[in-house]
Amino acid sequence: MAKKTTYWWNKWTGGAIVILLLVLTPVFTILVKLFDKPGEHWRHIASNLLPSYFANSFLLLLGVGFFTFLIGVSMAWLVSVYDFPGRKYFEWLLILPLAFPSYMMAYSYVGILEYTGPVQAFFRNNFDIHFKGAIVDIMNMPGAIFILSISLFPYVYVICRASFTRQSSAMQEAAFLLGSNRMRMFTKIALPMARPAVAGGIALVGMEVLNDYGTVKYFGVDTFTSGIFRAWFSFGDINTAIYLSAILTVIVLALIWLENFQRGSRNWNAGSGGSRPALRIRPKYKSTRRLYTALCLTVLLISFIFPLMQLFYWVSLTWQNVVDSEFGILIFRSFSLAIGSAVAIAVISIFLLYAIRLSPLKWTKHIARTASLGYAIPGAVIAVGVMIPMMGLDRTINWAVSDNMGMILSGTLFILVVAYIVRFMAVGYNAIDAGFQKTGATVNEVARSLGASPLRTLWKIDLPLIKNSIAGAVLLAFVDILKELPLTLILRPFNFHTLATKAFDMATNEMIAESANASLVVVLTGVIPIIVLNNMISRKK
Amino acid sequence: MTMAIIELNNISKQYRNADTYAVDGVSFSLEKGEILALVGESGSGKTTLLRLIAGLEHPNSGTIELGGEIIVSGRKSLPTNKRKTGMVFQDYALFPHLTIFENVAFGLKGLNKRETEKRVHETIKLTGLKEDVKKYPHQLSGGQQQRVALARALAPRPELLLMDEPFSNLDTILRDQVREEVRQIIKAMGITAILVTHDTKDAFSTADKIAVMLKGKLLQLDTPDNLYNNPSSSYVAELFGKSNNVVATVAPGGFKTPFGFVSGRKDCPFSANRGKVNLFFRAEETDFCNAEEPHLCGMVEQCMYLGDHMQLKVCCNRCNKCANDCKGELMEETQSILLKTSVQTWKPGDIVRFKLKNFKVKETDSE
Repeated sequence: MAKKTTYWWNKWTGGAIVILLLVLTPVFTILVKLFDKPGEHWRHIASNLLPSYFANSFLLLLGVGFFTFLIGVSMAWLVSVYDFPGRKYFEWLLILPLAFPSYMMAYSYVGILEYTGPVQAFFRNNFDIHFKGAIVDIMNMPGAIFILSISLFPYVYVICRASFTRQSSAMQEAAFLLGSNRMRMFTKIALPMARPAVAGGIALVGMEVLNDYGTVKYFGVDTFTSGIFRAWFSFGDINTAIYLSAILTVIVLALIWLENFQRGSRNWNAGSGGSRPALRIRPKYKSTRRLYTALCLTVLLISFIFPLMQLFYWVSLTWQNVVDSEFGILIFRSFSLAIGSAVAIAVISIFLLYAIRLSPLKWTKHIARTASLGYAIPGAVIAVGVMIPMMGLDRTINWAVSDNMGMILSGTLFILVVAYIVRFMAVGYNAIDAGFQKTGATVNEVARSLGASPLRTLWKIDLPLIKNSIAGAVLLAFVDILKELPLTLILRPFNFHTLATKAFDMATNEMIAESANASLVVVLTGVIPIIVLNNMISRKK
Repeated sequence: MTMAIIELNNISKQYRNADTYAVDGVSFSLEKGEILALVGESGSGKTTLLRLIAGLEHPNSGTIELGGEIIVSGRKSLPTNKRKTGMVFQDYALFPHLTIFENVAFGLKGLNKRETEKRVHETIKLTGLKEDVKKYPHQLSGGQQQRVALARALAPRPELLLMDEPFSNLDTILRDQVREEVRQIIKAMGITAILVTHDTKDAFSTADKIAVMLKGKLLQLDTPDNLYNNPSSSYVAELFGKSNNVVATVAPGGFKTPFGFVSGRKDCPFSANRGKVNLFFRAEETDFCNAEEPHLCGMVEQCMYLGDHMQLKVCCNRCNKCANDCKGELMEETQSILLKTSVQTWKPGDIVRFKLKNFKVKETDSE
């Protein structure tokens, strides 16, 4: 009689649980610390700064949420429903601002609007109008709202656009036949049906707003993340930093819960996705069509083209001083760190998803949610959350082996990679999950029924079929890691810079034009996957 | 004497968060070389049962023995890749990135290159596939893909072949031909097979034995002949053809029905004191006759033209519209029956005279 094995437990399930626990550890650690005592600076921070942290974070969330909603939904609506010159290009061009990290956009705009910037130069040379200082001082709360809105609206745009195009054309036609005009159909049907998706997009924007450090620091806006940094670096008060992280985590979890609650049981894809794409309407008047083109063009100019041109301008001024062999090493380090972490994320995601595929127990569905938690938690919090157990681990090793070992784990690239994995797991996970869904479980079942072990099936059958998704996952994770700032600033080993931290460093030290070199590399690298993914998607059409 | 190849004992499966059992206490056994068809409507549990045998699902309780080996016992179960079963899925699930040869060879283990080639070509020849084995699945038609799927499952020479709705993706013209071919291939290899289908014609033409499932329970497992002629319940009867159930009163020498008097059979199990019974007969177990012979009569309510025959819905409640010679028993509810005829000229309102060639007697509350 052959050996039997219990079916609901195997090495894949065990491994998945272990990984999950590791991913959850930073979050748990932080939350547990809520019950600990904060550091000595806490009282000072609590009475003087905490209120402004709350107020500013709240204002930012509200302002950015509102404007990204406005821009994202309107652009998505225009591009999905109407036909106007350039629409085909705007469809994917409007995603480009995602390649621009918010803080780099902040630097660019300060440059655009300042005395030596092109706008003032234009007014000076042609109209002999002089401004004192910058035309518009954007280094404040409204400025931060502006910058974050134009760099983050693509999240809402993409999700909304997907929802609109998925809404059955039959439904829209039915609405027309029943006599509703365009505006009414938009407000009464299309928008409400897209509501879960839009809310999800705004929630995503909210996470990014709370995560941002570079922009708010540069503009002098005090938020939780900047508070964490101040406590950690300026006061040297780790416990207070941890306590602030804990509060921020609670806010984020509340946001997640709120988004889930309002979504209810609806999923993100409301609409039965008719066999035809939605009607495309060609506005009757040429002027209307031109208006739509102008609107999209304006958004594109402000959110991507102007800042990009500013970068190019600065690079043209400074590249000879900045781009040297050291710069080359910087690029190499940054890229290899990002690629290595991205590949690790892909491998772990494959493992998790395969474990779910092999033993589809009820709770394995929650693996998806848990693994993706890191994406919602701000980078600074993850950094703190990863640091604590690592230091504990180091202390244990010191105690166990010898006191002179010092810190072998903390302050190394290892901890940085671990933190990246925790933070960006969701990116790889979702992309590869989509790939697995597309190939379906049947092929895997067939292979196993033919006698192939789970590992052989994964290697010979599942992986070759999801090649594209894996590549997409690595690409997306790579770009996200390259852009990442707060987490990297906290955890990077001494003297180790990425392109992101270098740009931040230079801008903070009044070398803003020089910082554009590093920024440009990051932005251009970010543009590539958008073009590649767009090609992949449009080829499928 | 042939040994039972597969034996199921009280297999039950309940999915979490479900109130009902997907498979409820199913037991049966198959001998080597037999073909069994699992028939039932959607949700009857037939596919779940197949997957339980394959090892893609695991039961809550019960045992399964395959080739004398216990492969499932309670919560312990042999993983699917260790069971000697081959499975053909409804959508074939051919590996799109492998050639036909590589697909068929996938399950072969422990053979060297030459032996593998020999086995692959042998099996492909058996299924009648004449395509170049270096082609890819997307270059084949549906029927050819099915042959590849079959060859792939058969190449490792499994002890049991499992097929999930193997013919449902084929158009009607192809279906008859493929049904016959598949049965021949299975018999030629002497392999035991279980196939799941919702189409009773598939079951009748391909299988040696048929098992009817409803709501997870096995209702009846029998030869096609017995199932048709001796269904254990009206559900089983309905599955295999239009049948009629007439409520009748027991009377001396026979039964009184709203259509007339039916002479009794000697082997009627009920005594005259019984009261009401069900007379069960198939639509084709009747003969039309004229007014001179002892007959039953009714009125045509509906005519349905079905190509090679016509189906008549005949009603009777001894109403005045009927013929004067009607001797039907008056009953509370109108009853109607279905009759088959090759004559195309019937119209609603016509009077029908017929007699029963054959019928069975059942208790009124038998399901």
